[in-house]
Amino acid sequence: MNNKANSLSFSMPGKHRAVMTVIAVLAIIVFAGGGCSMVAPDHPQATGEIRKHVLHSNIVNDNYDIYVRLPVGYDSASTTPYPVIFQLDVNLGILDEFNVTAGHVSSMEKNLEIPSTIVVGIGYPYNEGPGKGRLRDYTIPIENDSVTIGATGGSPAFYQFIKSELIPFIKEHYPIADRNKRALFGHSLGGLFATYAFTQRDSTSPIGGFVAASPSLWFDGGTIYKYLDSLSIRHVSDTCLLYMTMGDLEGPSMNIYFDDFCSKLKAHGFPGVRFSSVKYNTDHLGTISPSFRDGIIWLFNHGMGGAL
Amino acid sequence: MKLNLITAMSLVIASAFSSLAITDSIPSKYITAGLYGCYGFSGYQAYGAGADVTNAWRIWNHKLTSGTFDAGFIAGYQREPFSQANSILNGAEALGAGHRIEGLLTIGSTAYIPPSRRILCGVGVFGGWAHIIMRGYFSNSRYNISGDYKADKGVWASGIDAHFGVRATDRISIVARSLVPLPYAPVPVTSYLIALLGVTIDFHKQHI
Repeated sequence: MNNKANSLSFSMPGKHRAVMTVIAVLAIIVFAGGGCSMVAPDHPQATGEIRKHVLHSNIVNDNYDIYVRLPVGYDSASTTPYPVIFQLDVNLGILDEFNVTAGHVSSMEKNLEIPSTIVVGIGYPYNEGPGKGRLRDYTIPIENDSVTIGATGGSPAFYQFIKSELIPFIKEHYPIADRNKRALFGHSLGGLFATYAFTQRDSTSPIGGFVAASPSLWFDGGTIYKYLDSLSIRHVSDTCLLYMTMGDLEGPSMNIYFDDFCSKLKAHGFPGVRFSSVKYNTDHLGTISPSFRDGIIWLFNHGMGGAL
Repeated sequence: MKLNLITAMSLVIASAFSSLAITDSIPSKYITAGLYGCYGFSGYQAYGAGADVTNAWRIWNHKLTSGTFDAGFIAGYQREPFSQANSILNGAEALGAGHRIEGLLTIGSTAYIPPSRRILCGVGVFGGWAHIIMRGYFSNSRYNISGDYKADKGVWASGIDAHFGVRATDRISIVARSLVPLPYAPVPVTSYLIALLGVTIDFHKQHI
């Protein structure tokens, strides 16, 4: 072996070279496989047409980018109105939640598991700081002196925007079905808003189904519980579907709030409410795709879409 | 004389310090053992320790630089207290911690560069098992909520391994190392990044 450092030399016994070659090839195979799984998304590709609208809200005093995914074979003159899913966090960085839901809907339509369904994504035409729009719109008013970065507490106004401005706009442009075939999907703070929207149900509620994935029930020390209490005295009996999920790796605060909230919901037995909760063995981001996928299945199996 | 742990460590370190001068060359084959302090980040911070053993073969030897092919194993542990979330829980409290352990095979290459091949830098890949054991407790007296929390998960972990160091002597180096898991795995299990800082000792299998 040449041990003198007087030239560029690659000197190694043949058996060592063979061992290192085998190790290097195995490593390439293993990491190439890992790289492929990194590149592949965890949801199907969305099909159909996607249209974009910019909608100004006088209630919130802000603009929204509204993305509307229309199913393959969409008929604007259809006499059978389409079920519709309203999706939050459309354009929050890499989370891509609109395409997650649109992808799962596309796949299930193709497999004839659900009827043709419109997906409406509610996004923001800007991307300032840590999600300025979602922090304002998805959070409930603070009652326990929580300190936050940016404006919060806009859930009531955002709910009214959806009820009084967005849904009428969508109905004007697309043949969507009534409240019993409309759902709202949200994850994290979006899940908190979906939970809040559920607690606002009354005889005029515009949406009959909710999927709250990994909801941030910890916000402001659990103030969402006050809205659950107020729902219990409102004596509403219209049909409502609620599907909640959590990742069991999301830590004690997320999980214990979730367990307690679900048990209180079940124990109360709200008339007309059909409820289900699921936990996944994953973290906060890992619940997005399975929650929306399983939420779609559960909602349509419990009457959202009607018979195919 | 009964050898205790401190005495044994002293003997090992003394033998490694047999020559304080640094030789401007790298052995053709050697084994490195290292002890590190660990820092992990998964959205929250974790601290712990790690140890590794690496077999190195010199594969190039130029006038100014040398390089090795390395194959080894690294084991690590980090503790991530749940109390880090308490500042946003507004009066509620989370107790306990997540305990993260890793057993990873590593392969890569290290270059030794001037002056005197004192600086070392290397890159490689790792693959192995990462496991999180989470045990805690949460309470919110405002709404009378409380409960024990428990979760476990293990995953295959793979990613990029990079290290940089300085040879203090022929056998002892101070090394900073980072392990970046790729592709995406549940972050509480693998964390976004594990950074290590420690000391390695070379045991020369073949003299220079």
